[in-house]
Amino acid sequence: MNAAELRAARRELDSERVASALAACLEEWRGPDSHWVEHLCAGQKLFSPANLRRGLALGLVGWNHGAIIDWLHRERPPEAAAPELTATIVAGSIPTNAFALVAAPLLAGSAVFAHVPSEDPYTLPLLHESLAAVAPDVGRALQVGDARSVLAECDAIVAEGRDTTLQSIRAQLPSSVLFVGYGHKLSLAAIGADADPEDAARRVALDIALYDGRGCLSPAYVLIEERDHGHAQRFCELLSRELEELERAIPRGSVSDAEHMLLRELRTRWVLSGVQQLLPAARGTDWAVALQASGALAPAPGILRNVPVVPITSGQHLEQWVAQLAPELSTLAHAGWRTPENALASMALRAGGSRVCALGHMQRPPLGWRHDGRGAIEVLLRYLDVESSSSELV
Amino acid sequence: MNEERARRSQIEARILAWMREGVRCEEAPHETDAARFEQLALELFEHQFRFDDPYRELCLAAGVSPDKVQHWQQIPLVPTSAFKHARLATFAKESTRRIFRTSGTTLTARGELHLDTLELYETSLLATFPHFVCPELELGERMHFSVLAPSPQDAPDSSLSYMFGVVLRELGSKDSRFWLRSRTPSQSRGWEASACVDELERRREPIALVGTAFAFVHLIDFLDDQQREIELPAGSRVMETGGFKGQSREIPRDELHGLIASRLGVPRERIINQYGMCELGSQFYEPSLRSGQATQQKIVPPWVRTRAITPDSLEDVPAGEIGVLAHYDLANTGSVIAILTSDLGRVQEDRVEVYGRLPGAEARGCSRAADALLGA
Repeated sequence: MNAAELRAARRELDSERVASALAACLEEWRGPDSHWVEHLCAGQKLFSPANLRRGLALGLVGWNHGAIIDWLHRERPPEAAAPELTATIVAGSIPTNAFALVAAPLLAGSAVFAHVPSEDPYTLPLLHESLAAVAPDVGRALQVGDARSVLAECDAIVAEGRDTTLQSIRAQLPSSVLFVGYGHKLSLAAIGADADPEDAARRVALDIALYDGRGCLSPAYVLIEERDHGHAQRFCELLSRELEELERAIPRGSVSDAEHMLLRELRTRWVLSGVQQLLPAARGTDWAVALQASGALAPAPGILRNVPVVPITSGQHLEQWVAQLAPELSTLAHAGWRTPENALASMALRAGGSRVCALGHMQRPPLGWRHDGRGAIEVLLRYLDVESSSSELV
Repeated sequence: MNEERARRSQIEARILAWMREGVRCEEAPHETDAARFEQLALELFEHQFRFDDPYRELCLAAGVSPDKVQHWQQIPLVPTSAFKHARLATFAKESTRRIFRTSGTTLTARGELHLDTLELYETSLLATFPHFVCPELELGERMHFSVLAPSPQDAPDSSLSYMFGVVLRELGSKDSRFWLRSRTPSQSRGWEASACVDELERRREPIALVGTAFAFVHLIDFLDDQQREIELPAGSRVMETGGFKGQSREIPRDELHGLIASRLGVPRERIINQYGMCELGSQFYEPSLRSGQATQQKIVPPWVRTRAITPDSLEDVPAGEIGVLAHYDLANTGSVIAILTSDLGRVQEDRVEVYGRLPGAEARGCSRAADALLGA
């Protein structure tokens, strides 16, 4: 299908129809017996099947017709125009992220060409196939493949990537093309002294293990308010135990030699920067918990289930710690703080954050949320200001 | 003399004696030296564990101490990147005589190797370099070296420049010289390309043209621009070393050797690649010139062991397969014996083939898509 055909296919649809089709499609992906999920598990090797099943089962909760309609009505007034054709460049292989990045321009009123990254030739084609199966007319407004051939014909480009690369793409585009870039962000789990350590460890371990710490919603740091001497160390031991259990239940997916090396270097760096204790998996680089010196300032961030835990002393200390991440914070997950929730929200906002959630929910953002905190439909629209033609000249 | 120095001197004396026996790669594979290496490696590890504080921290974090190490393969490896983050040395800062730094940019931290003695480095070098690069030189005999690298005066923290300085001091004729002024020359800056080419054309006796791989690329580019070719005197040899890190372009080693052969008139079997790094006291050489056959296998000196491992488990890859190279170098007495590199290679007894570096170790995830699209 060429660009003109894509545009024509989208013109024939109203957004309510698109919303219904997306809801029906997501329904097909929900649930333990979804054959789309099984197809994805069979093809995609970056994540283990158990991780994909668990991630989708949790991530798609609440992504239903009502939520899509709410999102649509919240961000898309009738008097607005969308780009006719949008290219989306989805990063990584996290399926819920791909869904959201494709859904937003479709709902805005745009046809979509979704670029399929070479490292994951499964997620987007399966999403397209499942959408076309429940709603062929909507399926015709979406194409997946190598977007390089159509970039010049697009009215908008939505891309995830490194900040410098996004800047470089933006600089090459004519000013008439709308560009929306989602750059580098990171997330944080903060555990207050009042949290039940076992429950907190279980929840944070899930946040770390889902999608193997590859996305910006995974905790790059875990902060723990020290209740007493040894509290942080006990928490790290609990977290290690949970990560070991999750390694059996939802094993880490494929990791390249270069990534293993990165993890070896990361662990070395943590130790050389004065880590109190390193608790690594018995085998290889599967996971590690690095208990940092108390109050350590931004150690190297965690990745691929290897995570630094930083003991802090108070809510005020938390505020100082969060502030140093500005403007890169995405999500702040928390539990057990005496600091009021609105104060936590304010400190997240000041650090560039756009989401505050419970521990264990980091990988479950609401549909429509993007890590820059802006409406994913809204940013694509041009609003029309309609004034009365009979207004008197004063 | 303090306790550390005194104890290390005892170990070093035995390592130096081994180095002075020279390289006998053609007739004696390493197996015959297995017990000797094991003994020295374990003693050196115990010493470094005791006196090198950051290394001890790394060992303890890995749950390893000397009482748990029975074989040299169990000695904890340190990634080369660690030299960017800590001073890995058994001796006090005030005893440092020389610091070698890895190449890098102002934006990236540079690794540092601190040395309180250069005797191990020089002895290892002089036991191997002449053997592989100028084996025909009799004791006391010298030859002309043209060096495509900056001198030790121009790059005092470059181990490569130091190495060439020692080679010229010990083996070079009086008219030997360095042609570069900077570690990262461009085609027009940092070196005297025209004068260098004129000089090479004037030579009538066999010479050694040695330098960094990227400097050879610049030399070839210059010759191409000038539409010139050189025929170095028969019996000359070329030795290139170093990678292309931080340079504007990279060409495969085989292609580079082909270009050197065609533009400089040196037969392929007289072009030698040397493998080394700032963090290692010893270097490996292709034995092409000795055997008369071009090869990409390099000889591991007897006082060094190299493994090809998987970086996940740190276990050996199956025999004959490519893995990440880990070196155990007895020349590294004052720092760390066991170095984990990012180089890929295949190990066969005392020979290693190097296949470049692991691709940029950036985790696949959120920031990759746009880069891949742009082919970045």
